[in-house]
Parts: sequence; structure tokens; C-alpha cells
Amino acid sequence: MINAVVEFVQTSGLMALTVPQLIMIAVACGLLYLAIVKKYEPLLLVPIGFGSLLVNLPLSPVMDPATDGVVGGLIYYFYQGVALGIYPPLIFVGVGAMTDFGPLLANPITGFLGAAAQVGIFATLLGALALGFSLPQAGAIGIIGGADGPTAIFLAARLAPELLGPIAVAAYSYMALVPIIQPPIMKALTSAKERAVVMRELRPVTQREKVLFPIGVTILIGLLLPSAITLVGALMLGNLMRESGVVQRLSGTAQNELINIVTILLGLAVGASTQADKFLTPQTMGIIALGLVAFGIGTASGVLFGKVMYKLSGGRINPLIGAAGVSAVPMAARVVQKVGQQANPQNFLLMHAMGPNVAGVIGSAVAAGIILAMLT
Amino acid sequence: MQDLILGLEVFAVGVVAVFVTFVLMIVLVRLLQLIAQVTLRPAKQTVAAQKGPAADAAAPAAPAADALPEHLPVIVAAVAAYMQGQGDYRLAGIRPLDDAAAMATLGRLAGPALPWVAAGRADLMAARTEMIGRRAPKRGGTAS
Repeated sequence: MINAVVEFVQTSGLMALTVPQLIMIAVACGLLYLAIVKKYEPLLLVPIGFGSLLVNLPLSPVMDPATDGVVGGLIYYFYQGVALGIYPPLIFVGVGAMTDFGPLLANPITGFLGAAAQVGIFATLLGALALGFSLPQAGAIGIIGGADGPTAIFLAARLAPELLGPIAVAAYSYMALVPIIQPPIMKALTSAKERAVVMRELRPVTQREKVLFPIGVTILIGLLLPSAITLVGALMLGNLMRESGVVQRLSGTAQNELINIVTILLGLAVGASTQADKFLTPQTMGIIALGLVAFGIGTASGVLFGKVMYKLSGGRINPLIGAAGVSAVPMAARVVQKVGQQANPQNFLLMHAMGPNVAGVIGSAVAAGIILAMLT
Repeated sequence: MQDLILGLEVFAVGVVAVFVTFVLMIVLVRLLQLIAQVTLRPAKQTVAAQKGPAADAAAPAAPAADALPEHLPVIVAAVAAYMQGQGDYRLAGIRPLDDAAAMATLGRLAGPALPWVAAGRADLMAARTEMIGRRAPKRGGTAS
């Protein structure tokens, strides 16, 4: 009887608990704290934090792969959607269905700010190479600068699946930290006068333009960059469903049920990729540091290009909107609005910032396509 | 070292490719805008209509999309004249007052691409103002 008890205790998770697992359980609880108490990206951090918790409990079977005749763990199967690159495009269908490209169509020149902010991706790629990462790994790390979780996962799963966990966690963490990371960079690079610029009201955009835009962009990107069409095509499909107005049920599903279900599966799978033995490495620290650099450079390059446009436009473009070029929709645009109002309480930059913001989503997908095309 | 060189290549090509993609996308957006202007009611009228009848009356006259076919001969003549390097709209056979609406349509379509359109429209406005001035009843001086 005593032997049976001892044997039972010895097979319990308590006896198998290691220090790294304990640290990761603390990290998982930290993520849940940020999501629930601080309300930082709760839609993402709750499933990610809980996935991390599940996988780091000792002897947890949730990520066990399927072996001869034995069924694998539940999250192992969820994870296949990440490994096979299924979830990111599905998320993009939902994002497209929720996105109004009107501000970009009304003032298309601001699309350049979405392009400029992608410089951070390519600059960080060089930084990662300097730190000793391989070229595919460096490409996957650089994409964190796009501040676009699905794109980061999509690229990492193809170029460096071994780094998927840290890259996804870094990408989503920095997206959640946009309101903390961006304002100091924005203020450091602009003068009070520049921040106070009031931009002209946007022109109304016709329905026909909005319907033709996703079709045109899909054809354009498909012809230019076939490797980017999976993400861009999914984004534009969602947007076409929204703007065409003829498939409101599908659009509603993409905006709600689809994106919510995929977010749960994706979040759990990403969280489950943070197993202590793979996550707690010096490489992870390097990735998290490089992610911050990528994000910072992306923000700075957007703002600096905004300053160029401010000069060229004779002071009619507020350079702050360049910071929204890192995708992080719509949080980056909200940050622009907030910083702009600090300089001029009568200023409403939100809709102007949405142009570069949605351009950033396209930009990061395009950058991912370029990296894929060049490194595979 | 090899990787670093390749990385620099990815950096250079990547940044240029992203910008080129956006240049083409912006061209596409401008094209869509022109298509919408040609086939739908002009944006200014839409805004005015949204704001109500008072704003509609105050809004500057914009050419109706329906009128485009009838303006087409003048527009084609103007573009042909421009392509041949003629520096003045009058050389295209455009009559200042009769073709004002066509010129306005052309201005909306071509914008700054045809520099003399702006000058032509300014002349048209001046001619219009002068004509209205001639037609308007004289004020003052008749009290006796």
C-alpha cells in the first residue's frame, strides 16, 4: 500500500518539476497577469499565457507528438495549424474583414509611411546576422519589427521553426507594449511644432474604390511577389467580403467567429511552443532584445519618413503618423492620436494614422514575401 | 561573412522592393480614384449632398458624370493639343464660356498633369465674372 502511494507520488508532476519549468510557469502567470489585470492585448495573451502554462507543467502530455498507434496531445494537433502555416492567413481573412482601407485610399501617399516602417525588419535582419544567427533565422527574427503577429508566425514557421516560440512571444509582447515603446521614440524624433500639425480632412472614398482596391492589390502583389500572395490574398479576400456588401454573413463570420476561433487555437499553440527546455536559452534573450530593436527602428524609420513628407508637403503632414506604419492595428494609430493630442488638444490624427497603419499590414506581408523569396 | 553579404543584399533589395510595391499600389489607388470619378458622381457633390441643400448650393460647380460623353470631343481636342506641345488651351479650339464645363471636367481628370488647364480655367472664370457683371443690374446712382 505504501509502495503504491510512493509510486503514485513519484509519477506525479510535483516530483518531476524542474527549475526552468518553474520559471516558465511564472512567466506564463506573468502573461496572464498582464492580460487580465493590465488589459494588455488580452485576446492574445490569455490563450498564449494559458498555453504556456499547460505545456510547462511537468509531464504535461498536451504537446506530445503522435507516435506509433498512440494519439498525440491536444495542443500538438492545434500546433499543426501553425507549423503548416494555416492560422496566419485565416487570421488575415478576419483582419481584412475588419479593416477599412478608406483612409489609405483617401490619402494614398501615406502608404509610403507603411513602407518606411518596414526598414526595421531589414535592419534587424543585419543585426541578427551580426549576433551569429543564420540567415533564415535572421529573416524570421527581423519580421518582429513589422509588429504583425500572424506574419511573424507565418515566416518563422517556414524559415526557422525552432525559433517560433520566442519569435511569436516577442512579436505579440511588443504589439501589446506599443503604447509604452513608441511614444518616447516619436517625441525624441519630432519637434513640438511638428507634432501639433493639424492635417486636412480626408476626402470621402466611394464604395467602388473600396471594392476594386482588394481585387487590384491582389492582382498587383500576385504578379510582383508570388511569395507574399498567401497573406496579402487572405487579407484582401476578407476585405472584399466586407466591402462588396453581397456576402455579409461571410464577412460577419470572418470578423467574429472565424478570427475568434483561430485566435484561441493560435494563441494556445504559440503558448505551447514556449517549453522551458527550448525557450529558456540565450538565443531567446537575443531574439527578445533584437525584437525590441526591430520595433524601435521600424517606429523611428516611419517617423523619420514622416518628417521628410512634412517638409515636402510644406508642413501639411504630421510626421507622427509615420509611427503607425508598423502594423499593430489599430493600437499604433491610437498612440499617434494620443501623442498628437498632447501637443495640440484640438488635433484628431486617428483617421490620418489609420492610412499608414493599414498600409503597414500590407507592408509587413510584402516584406515577409520578399524575405521568403530571397531566402528559400 | 558570406551570410552578411547576403544579408546586405536582402536589406538593399528588400527596402527597394517594398517601396516599389507601394509606388505601384499608390498608382493603382490613383487609378481607382479616377475610375470612380469618371463613372460615379464627383466626390465634392457627394459631400455637399451629405451636408444638405444649403451646402449643395454653396459647393463649387462640378461637372456631372452624365455630361462626360458630351465633353469628350473637347477633352480629346485639349489632350491632343497638349500632346502636340501647344502651350495654350485656346489653340485647341476651346471656347472660353461654351466649353467651361468640359474644361472643368478635364481639370478634374488631368489635374496638375496639364499645367495650362489651370490657367485656362482661371481665364474662364474671369470671362464668366465679366459677363455676369455686364448682365447684372446696376446698383446705386438711381435713387433720384
